[in-house]
Amino acid sequence: MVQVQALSKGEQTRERLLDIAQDAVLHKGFAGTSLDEIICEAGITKSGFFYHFRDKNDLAKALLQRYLDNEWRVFEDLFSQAEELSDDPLHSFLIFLKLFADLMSDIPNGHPGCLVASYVYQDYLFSQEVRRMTTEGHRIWRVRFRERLDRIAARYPPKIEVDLNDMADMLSAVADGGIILGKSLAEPAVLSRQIMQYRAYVKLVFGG
Amino acid sequence: MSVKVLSKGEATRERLLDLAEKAVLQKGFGATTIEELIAAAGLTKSGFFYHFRDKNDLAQALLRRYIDRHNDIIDDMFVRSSELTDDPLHGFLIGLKFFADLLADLPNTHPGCIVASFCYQDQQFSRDIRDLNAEGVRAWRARIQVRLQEIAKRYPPRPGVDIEALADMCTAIVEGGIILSRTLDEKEMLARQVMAYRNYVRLAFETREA
Repeated sequence: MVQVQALSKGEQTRERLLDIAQDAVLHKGFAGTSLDEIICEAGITKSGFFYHFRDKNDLAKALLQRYLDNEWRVFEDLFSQAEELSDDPLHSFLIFLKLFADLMSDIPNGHPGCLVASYVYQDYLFSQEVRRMTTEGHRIWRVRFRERLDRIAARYPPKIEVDLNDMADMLSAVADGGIILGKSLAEPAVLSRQIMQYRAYVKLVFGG
Repeated sequence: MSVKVLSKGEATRERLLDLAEKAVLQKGFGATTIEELIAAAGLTKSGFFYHFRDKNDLAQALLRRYIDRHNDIIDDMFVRSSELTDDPLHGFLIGLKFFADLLADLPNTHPGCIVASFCYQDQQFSRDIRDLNAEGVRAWRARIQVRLQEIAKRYPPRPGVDIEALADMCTAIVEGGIILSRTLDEKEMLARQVMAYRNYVRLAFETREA
């Protein structure tokens, strides 16, 4: 899936710091995560940490950037797998959704959480720049999902009047909401079932 | 949803909860201090501790109030819509429209959901609070599922429709819609997502018109 590339030792340390920080932020919040605990868990010195990140805001930014890049890479990868399996815009979107649901149900212990959602619920702690990044992240997803829905609608006229932007946003909403439900209920399967329900909706709208 | 007159003590307690809810939804629970709440409420420390034993007790009261309020909102929607029609599907669709209107009428972007905020900081909380969070989501699921089951008795669900997941989707869409409306700073987004869910429910059951 994600391309394997050899990381230098410095890059490895940076990745490890980001992994530790992300796990802590998703469970305790950003304010509840201290640099000292990250440094301690990574087994490095304070100056080792500050070599990679100027301060906590810089860490917040790097975490979010990595999260958005990874998510996007996963989506692009699933889209290209789906497109290899079908030329038809509706079928390939339905295949994409199935692959997405399967991927989510394969995560051991369930999805750990969406960093964008976590940041939104503490937005006063972040700089304008970080908040702009979350906005951009969602805008890109809307555009990319919308492109696909447009192609579907051109071939299969919707059975009912739907707003395709809302339908594109609905996938992000269902995924974010499914993560929250799965975490709150400690029922990780909720997320993939929500994606499959969205898929059933797409089928009903275009397929009849 | 009945209006009752609050005693002075109850009014102070509500005010503390309002201040805490606002701060928690903007900064998270960890960054919200008892000191700032006391200062904002113009209270003494002992005034605060008269109402809440500690921060955990405050968290529990916040969550309890949020869940109860939303149970009342859901019940109220469906009581009002059942007065307008006996048909379970039409009643549910009218209830969702009421809900979307209610959200569209909010003066600002929805401030956020306490359940979502807490689940993103779950390690800050005691076991009983995490249990209460799950109980709240289950209560919403049950309220909606029972109505979808009534609909399914009269109108068979179309292929691929899973009644429990469709019930959860109502909560999911609201949670996700809140996040989208806050990230994109598009206030209307939340009501629009509820209407998109309503479209889905319309298609999800076999009716003669379909």
